[in-house]
Amino acid sequence: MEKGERTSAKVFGTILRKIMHISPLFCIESILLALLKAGERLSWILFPALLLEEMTTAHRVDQIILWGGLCIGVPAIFAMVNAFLSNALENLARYVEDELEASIDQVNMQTRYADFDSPEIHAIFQEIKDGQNMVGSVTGVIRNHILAITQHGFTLVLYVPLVFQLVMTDGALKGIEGAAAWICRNTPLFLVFIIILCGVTVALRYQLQQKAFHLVESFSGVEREYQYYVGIRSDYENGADIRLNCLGEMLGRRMEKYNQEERRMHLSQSAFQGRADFLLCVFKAIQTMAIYGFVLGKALWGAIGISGFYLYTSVLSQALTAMTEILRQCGEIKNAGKYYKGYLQLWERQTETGNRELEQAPILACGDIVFEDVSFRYPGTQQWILKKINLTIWAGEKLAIVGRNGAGKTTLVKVLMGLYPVESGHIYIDGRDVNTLNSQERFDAFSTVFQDYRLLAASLQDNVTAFEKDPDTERVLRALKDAGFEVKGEEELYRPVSRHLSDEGILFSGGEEQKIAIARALYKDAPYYIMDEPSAALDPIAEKEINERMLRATEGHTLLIISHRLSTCTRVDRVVVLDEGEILEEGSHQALLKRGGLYSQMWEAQARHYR
Amino acid sequence: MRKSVRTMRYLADTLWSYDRSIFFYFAVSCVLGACLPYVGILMPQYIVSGLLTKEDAQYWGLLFGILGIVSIGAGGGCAVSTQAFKGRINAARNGCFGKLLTEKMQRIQYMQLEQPSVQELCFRANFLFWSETSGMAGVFTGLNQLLTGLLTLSGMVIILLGLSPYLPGILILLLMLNVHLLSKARRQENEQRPAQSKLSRELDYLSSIMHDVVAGKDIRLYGMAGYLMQWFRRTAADRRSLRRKIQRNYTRAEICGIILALLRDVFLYGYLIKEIIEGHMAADQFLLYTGSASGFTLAFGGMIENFLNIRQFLGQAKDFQEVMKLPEEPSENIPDVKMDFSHLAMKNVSFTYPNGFALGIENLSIQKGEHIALVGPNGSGKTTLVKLVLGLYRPQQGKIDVFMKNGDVISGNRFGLFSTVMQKIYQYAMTVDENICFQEYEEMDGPMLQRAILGAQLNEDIKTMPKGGRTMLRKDFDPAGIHLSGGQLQKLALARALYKDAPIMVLDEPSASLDPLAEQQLYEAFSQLFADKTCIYVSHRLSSVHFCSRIWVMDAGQMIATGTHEELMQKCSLYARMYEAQSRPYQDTEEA
Repeated sequence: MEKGERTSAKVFGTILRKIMHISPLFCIESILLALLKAGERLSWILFPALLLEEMTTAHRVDQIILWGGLCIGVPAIFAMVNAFLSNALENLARYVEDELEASIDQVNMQTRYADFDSPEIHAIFQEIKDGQNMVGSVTGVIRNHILAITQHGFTLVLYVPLVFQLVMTDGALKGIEGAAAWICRNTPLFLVFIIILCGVTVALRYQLQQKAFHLVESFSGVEREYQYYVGIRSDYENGADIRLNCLGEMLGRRMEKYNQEERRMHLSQSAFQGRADFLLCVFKAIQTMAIYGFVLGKALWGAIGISGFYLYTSVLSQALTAMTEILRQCGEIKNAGKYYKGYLQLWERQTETGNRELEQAPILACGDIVFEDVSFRYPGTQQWILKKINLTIWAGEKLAIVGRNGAGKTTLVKVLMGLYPVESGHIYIDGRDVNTLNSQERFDAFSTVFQDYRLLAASLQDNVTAFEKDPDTERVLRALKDAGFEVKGEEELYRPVSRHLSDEGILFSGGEEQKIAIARALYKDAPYYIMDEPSAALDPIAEKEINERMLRATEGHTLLIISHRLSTCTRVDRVVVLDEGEILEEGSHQALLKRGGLYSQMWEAQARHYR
Repeated sequence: MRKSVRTMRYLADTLWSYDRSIFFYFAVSCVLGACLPYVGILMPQYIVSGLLTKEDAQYWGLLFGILGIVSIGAGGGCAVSTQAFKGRINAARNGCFGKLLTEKMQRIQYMQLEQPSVQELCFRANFLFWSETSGMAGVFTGLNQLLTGLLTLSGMVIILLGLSPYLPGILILLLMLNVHLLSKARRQENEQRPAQSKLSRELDYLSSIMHDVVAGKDIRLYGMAGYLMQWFRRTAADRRSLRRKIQRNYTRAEICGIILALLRDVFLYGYLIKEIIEGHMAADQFLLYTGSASGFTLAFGGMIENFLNIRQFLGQAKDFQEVMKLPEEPSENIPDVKMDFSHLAMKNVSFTYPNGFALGIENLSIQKGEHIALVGPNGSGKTTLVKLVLGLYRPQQGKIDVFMKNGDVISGNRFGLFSTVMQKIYQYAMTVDENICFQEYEEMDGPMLQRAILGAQLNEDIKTMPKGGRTMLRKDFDPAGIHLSGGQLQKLALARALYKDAPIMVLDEPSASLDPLAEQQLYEAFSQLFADKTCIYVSHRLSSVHFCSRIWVMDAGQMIATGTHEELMQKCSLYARMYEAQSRPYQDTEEA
């Protein structure tokens, strides 16, 4: 338990420092607001008490009017200032929240890709997401809990003089005897008693709260499962499976089981919570009666007057509330802390890439690429995907990489580009060991079309230029044309390429999207082109065209092309056949056909249908 | 207003048929909750009045006894019943409304479901039961508090009437002004809501892109991180300034509220002070009236808040009700359709997408046992035709009928008639066996499953998996779960089709991501396993036409030619060009 508290303290300490860094004003105003709110509460009871004092004792008209005026005026002024301050704080809080989100997104995009695509990072995000479901957003936690603690802390401090004054009344009770009188005379003792009472209440509440929290938490696994099923059932992409393969019935029955379980959970949780609340209510009643009884006793024996009775009952019950709240909020924070340690882990990560300076020419020119004994396996796995690859790709060469599914073709190019680090061996690009280059310098050298890619919900032009600041529209149009994409008019360049964000968006077919991705690579015009299955979604005529265009457009550049359509191989300089992470065969198309190995088998499998 | 009441009826009726006890706890917690504020107001008054008149021990005993009983009885009772009410309401979120929605989603016509606007609507319909504090849970808890407040308020009014007959009137007048201001701010917020949710959607989209493993590659290679960050910050700033504008209205309303409260206090205290100075007012009464007045304002303020909330949350029910009204797939399944399929006929079918793409088929039929290859350029409407045949789409004109051997026409849904292997194959977070059968273990047909696995040549793959057929796919629920590779997915889909064993097989681009040898295997499996079935094979790889008895060529939404390969090479220039383009490299090298 102690460890949990320490982590939470550390987590929120770091997050608070980060927030302080983002917006110092947010922190200052938060503290100010807490102080003013405490002041407002005090003014609610102080001035009516003074008014009561005056009307029950001296009854001076001018004083009555003065206190009455303050009764009305002071809380109103406080309220007004607080309203303005809250408003300002609300705006700042949103800024802080957005910046916190941005800091995480930044890490996502600039951490090493191999780390980004690791189970470890996925787990951190899952944890943060669970946290948002369980305890709310991190700024929400800060605002609700930490602010409340500060505010109640100030309240306690403000009440100290009043409580001290109450202790001082004991002197007036000399000469009265009896057990009740003894209690009334020993205010400090009574204070200790109700603080203990309050402590017991808090401890009880904490226990109950933890138990309720665990109850919900233990359910969150089942909940995730349910949410997954809901996701499938509501996603139109799975709609065909649901309708044609009766997947829906199965999910429906599983969800029904979940619904029953969830209902049981909710009912037992609420029954438990109800019992807990009842118990707390009893404690609270005892507390209230103790305070009333004690202060009443003092009033009966004449130590304090009627206004004193009003003032001290209010002060004591508010102080107790403040104390209870502080302890309660601490419990909440402790629960929240463990969900947000993911933020710390993410902030600690090294980022590798800065923003690309688009004007700057790439450092690498089109030279030879040399693989020297390159081996690779995915982090955390045992199986070698690439085994001691030795390969030289000459400057300007057109090279096809072929092989069976899972032979390591895509991994080879990912390692070359620097998305994953090699485990042993060396890669040289244009004569330079890649380890001497930073990621951005390396990324700049490649124009790539991945097998799986995402077009963004931005304009066609932005997708082709990858958001270049001053795009060259001429070149954009040429790149699109070279990729075989028909632009119907220049205004089409400015329309979004998806309906995600705008109904204006154009929905492109898979083939057209692929052409846009190719145009993006052509526009970047880096020294090395890598095309991973660029024509998989294209019809025969478009496929033939794109192959021809690509060879023409990448004239003078190195081109690596991965394809299952071996017809592509007839037009390249050299073919490399990968099998189980090793280079099985290499040579020209004709030479490989003559060898009669895997390549000729694959060729035969495709060619026989066209005779 | 009348619409709100109707929506309320709808929600209450739905809830009534789900769980009646909710309403019992609702009523109990209302009544008990209404008593509670009086403890805080009446108690000081009685004590002070006792102090003033110097009452004896019996008085104090009685007073404290009542205090104890009331605060524990009403407070505890209210706590227990409120929790019971909340628990049941929460259970009803997923258990009643969530269930209704997902069941509906499953029955909505697929064509509807594919439209972005309908998806958006369905997404918004979720808000009705999404959270504990809004939607239908918000409506009922709000209603609970509203009624509690109303009960409290009526008591306070009676107390204040004792002071002055005008006072409650003045208070209500001032508060109504406040209501007006608040509801204006709320209205302005609602007007901004579409703009705000658009910005939020944009931010969610950006986050999802920045968290996406696939997009992560493009972002790095093309150096888009900096721009995306700018985009995110810009949109976030837009949303903040929009929210600031909304917030400003609320702050304004709040400030006016404070001024009105000040006015109220001036009236109240002015009156009280006048009475005090004239000597008509004792301390206990003073406490009673100030307590009641602030209790009154508190209760009223809470009621306004609740009233506005309820109205807003009821709006969320609109989307839900709209989804519930969407057209559904026909429900009835024809028994034993497998045995008796005779042929499928299309007559004058026309279908137009909202974006204008139109498909028209005059006359086309598939006989039992035929193998058909469907070819055509990208965007020619092949997939649309497939969806029409499957019954996922409904033609706007014309008819697609499935005939049985005895001449009957299938009228209900015909999904049972087809096994499909689509281009995109989804693996679900269930065991491999469940992924094939889409049934629980106790319902599975064991021998059939074995045959399907063997037929799809998945048996070798399953042997290497840690728990065999009971291995979980995906890592959602089992960290040891596995992801199938492209080739394995293909086999999984084949096994699904074999297990379902429907009379018509539909394959849409099944080999796009397969290597040449795997493609060859698929072709072989296809010709062996489905030799006696009716098949429709959609592919860009024209090699597939060789094991099909008839070829359909589509272009721009029209069926431009049908026939055998040889016929089409003669009479269809598009087909000849496509075949030429793909086969030339293979033929050239062989000649060379």
